[in-house]
Parts: sequence; structure tokens; C-alpha cells
Amino acid sequence: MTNTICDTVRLAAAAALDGEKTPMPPEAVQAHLDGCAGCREAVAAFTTLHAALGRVALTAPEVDLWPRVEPHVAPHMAPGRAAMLPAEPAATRGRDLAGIAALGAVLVAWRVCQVAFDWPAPVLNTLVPLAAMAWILWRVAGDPFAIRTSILELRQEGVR
Amino acid sequence: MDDATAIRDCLNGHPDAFRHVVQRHQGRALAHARLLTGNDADAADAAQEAFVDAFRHLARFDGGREFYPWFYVMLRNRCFKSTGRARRQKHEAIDPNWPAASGLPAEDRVDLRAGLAQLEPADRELIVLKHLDGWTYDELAERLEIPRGTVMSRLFHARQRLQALLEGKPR
Repeated sequence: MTNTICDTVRLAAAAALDGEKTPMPPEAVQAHLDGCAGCREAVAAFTTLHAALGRVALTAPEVDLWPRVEPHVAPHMAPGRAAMLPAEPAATRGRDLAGIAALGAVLVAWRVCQVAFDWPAPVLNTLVPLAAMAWILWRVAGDPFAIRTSILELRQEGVR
Repeated sequence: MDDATAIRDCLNGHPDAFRHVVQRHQGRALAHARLLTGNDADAADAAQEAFVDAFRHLARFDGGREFYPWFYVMLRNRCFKSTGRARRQKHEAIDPNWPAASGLPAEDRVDLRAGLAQLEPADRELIVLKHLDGWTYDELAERLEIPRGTVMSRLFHARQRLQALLEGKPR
């Protein structure tokens, strides 16, 4: 059984092994380790794992991907033509736009009916907009390129 | 030919330019994909799809930056989609050939491989990027878009789970 201090000490010891700034001073970590057999054992086990992971190397399967990629890009790469595939199939984009427009029309009509006819439907009044928002979020979250990439930057190159 | 030149040429319609980009980065991409998906077949599929994604969105690439970090976001999305599919089909494979570990006894090597393969993809990714790619906490935080403290905590717990797996304890 560990307590919060033990958890913090183990976290700090792991960060120190990683060569990172620790959430508590090294002297405090050491002082705790001197008096806590459980943490000494946990840190020793972690040190062994850390060393083993340090000897693992990335290896890549021997596959040339170009023959698999080329058929998808070659038709769009004729000399003198901008090498871009459509970001999304036009049909899908059209369906999405039509869907969003239809959804907007339904929501506006719903609201007009609520006001005009004083519809007492509290559950539906909540569910309909929620369902609409869920659908839009699903469409947006479904785009794997929605993640911001502008801040990403790697220093290293090549497989180690 | 460097990446920026190759991508510029590619955008200008030179058919061979994207081949340079694929062939320069495919080794690293396949290695990452193998560790994220757990097997070579899914890794190759995910990497292939990610390169097609990258080509499709090449106009969005900022030529002043490195290609691989931008590409990696697409690669990890493809890998996680692939592992999600595999899990739904309940036959997540563990390829016996990864990762390579030098200087480890054969039994430890197998255990480490099996342990890594059994981790959740997000845990596996953190461990791979930290230990195999050597990313710092700050780099992990920036590139995975999570706070540094979360990196520290998630990495700590991911390694605890790996350790428990290696010791045969329940997670």
C-alpha cells in the first residue's frame, strides 16, 4: 500500500532517471528513500525496466511503400499539374454541406414552431439541439487532420 | 534533395518528388507504426494511408518546418484507427519480430516485446517516443498537445503498467 508521499517520490525518481526536472528536490527524494523500503524496492525495479527500455531499438519492416502509395497519387501528379488530391471527395463534401444546411433548417423551423405554437416539449427541446450538436461534433472530430500541427516540430531525423 | 525542395517540386507537378519524401521517411514511419499497431501488416497499411493523407494535404504543409512531425500526426491517427479496428475484430496480433533489443537476454527480450504489445496504444506510444525516440517531457507535451505534468504522470503510469505486465501482475 502506498500513500501520496510515496507516489510523489516514485514519480520524482522516475523523472530524475529520465533526466527531467523533478516535482520534489532530489535531497527530499533521497531522504524518503532512506526510510522507505517499499519505495526503494519500487525505484530499483523501475531502474531495471528503464535500463532495459534504453536498450530497445526501433526497427522497421523491410517494405518499400512507394509502390503502394504511387497508385493513389500518380494520377494527380502529371507533369505541370499541381500535385494535389482533393482534400475530401467532392461527393462527401457535398453531402456534409447539404446535411448541415438541412440541420440548420430543421433547427430554425423547430424554434419557429416553439415560439409560434408555444410547444410544451421540454425533453425534445433539449434533445433536438443536443442531437444536432453531437452530429456536427462527430463530423468535425471525424476529421483526423483537425488536430493542430502548426506547433509540432521535431529536431531529430531518421530511425534510431 | 531535401524535404522542402521535394515537396515544392511535388506541388509544382513533378511526379518523382513525392517518392523521395516517402522513401526518406518510410523507415521511421514503419518503425513507429509497427510499435503503435503491434504488427507489420497494419503498420504498412497505416503508413501507406498516412503518406496518401500527407500527399492529399501537402498544400497545408508549412515548408519552413520539418516534414516528419507534421506527418507523424497523420500517422498516429491512422495507427490508432487501425488498432481500434483490430480491437473491434478481437484479433490484435503481436508480431514476434519487434522491437529489437540488443544486450538483453532472450527471455527478457520476449517479455519486453510481449509487455509492450499488450499495453494500450496510448501508453505504448508514450514509452516508444520517450525511450526509443528520446523525446523529452517538453517535446512530448508540445507534440502530443498535453501539459508537461500530464506527460510525466501518464508516462509514469504507463511504465508501471508495463512493469506489472512483465511481473505477471494484473494491471
